[in-house]
Amino acid sequence: MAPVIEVTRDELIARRDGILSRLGLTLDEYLRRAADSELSGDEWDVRDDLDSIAFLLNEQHFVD
Amino acid sequence: MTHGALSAAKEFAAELTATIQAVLPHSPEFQAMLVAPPHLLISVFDVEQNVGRLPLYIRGKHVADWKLTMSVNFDSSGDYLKVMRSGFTLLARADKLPLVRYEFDDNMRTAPIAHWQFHAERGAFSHLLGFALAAGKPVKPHSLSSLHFPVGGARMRPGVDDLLEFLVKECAFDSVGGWKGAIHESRARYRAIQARTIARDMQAEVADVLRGEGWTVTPPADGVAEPGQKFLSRW
Repeated sequence: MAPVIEVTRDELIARRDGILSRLGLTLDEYLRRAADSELSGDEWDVRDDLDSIAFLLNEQHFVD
Repeated sequence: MTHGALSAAKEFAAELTATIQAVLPHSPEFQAMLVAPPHLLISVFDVEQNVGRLPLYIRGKHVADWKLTMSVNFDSSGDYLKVMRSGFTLLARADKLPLVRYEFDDNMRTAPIAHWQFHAERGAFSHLLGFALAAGKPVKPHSLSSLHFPVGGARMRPGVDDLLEFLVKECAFDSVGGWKGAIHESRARYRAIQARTIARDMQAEVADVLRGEGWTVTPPADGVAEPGQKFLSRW
């Protein structure tokens, strides 16, 4: 059986804040850059993390 | 989260690990990340619990990576998993931008539910899209990756086994001896599940086919379910 990592919503939000802070962007700015197909390499690098966090938080604004 | 759901999540992650480790060398273990109310992410995670990369080799040299994520919810009973989203990304080690991505999103409303996106350049294609932009259409000529190439909708989309075979046969990454057997096993399992789901969506059609094959099929007393409009109509 595979191990399970249990996380809280607060931990996920803090992780997302940390990722965005390193990029120097707000979530809205990131999503806008993604929607306009303007993500840089560093921004692409965290795309799956931001997308997964949004899913785990039951949010609808995923990155396309 | 019920005990059944937790077990199903662990089994799903373990099954993914077994299949992938039987195909690609030095592949790490998949884990399930869980947050309440039960939303589940199955992937490989690094030490900071970010989505991790799986290595890809050519003649033993680590030349590329890939990522795989499965975002899972549970059905109303709480016991059965339903994959809501999945993502596959292929990356060269020399560059942070993806090479290609495959994605499935059951809640997709605009783009195709299952699609490939190619992070590539093609001048003639951008030129073509430029005409559409000039005509006021919502296209992005500078980015071919903004195009979503549809691949069969929710029920007929590629499975993990197809993605693995793409990596081994089309991209020529190193594989583990006996990889074909693992892929065939995984594909048979996945397609049997999809066939059962399609049968539920298309009961009258399935009954007709079975009658044609000599089966005796009796419809339920409370009537045959309407065809699944989601299956029939969404791209």
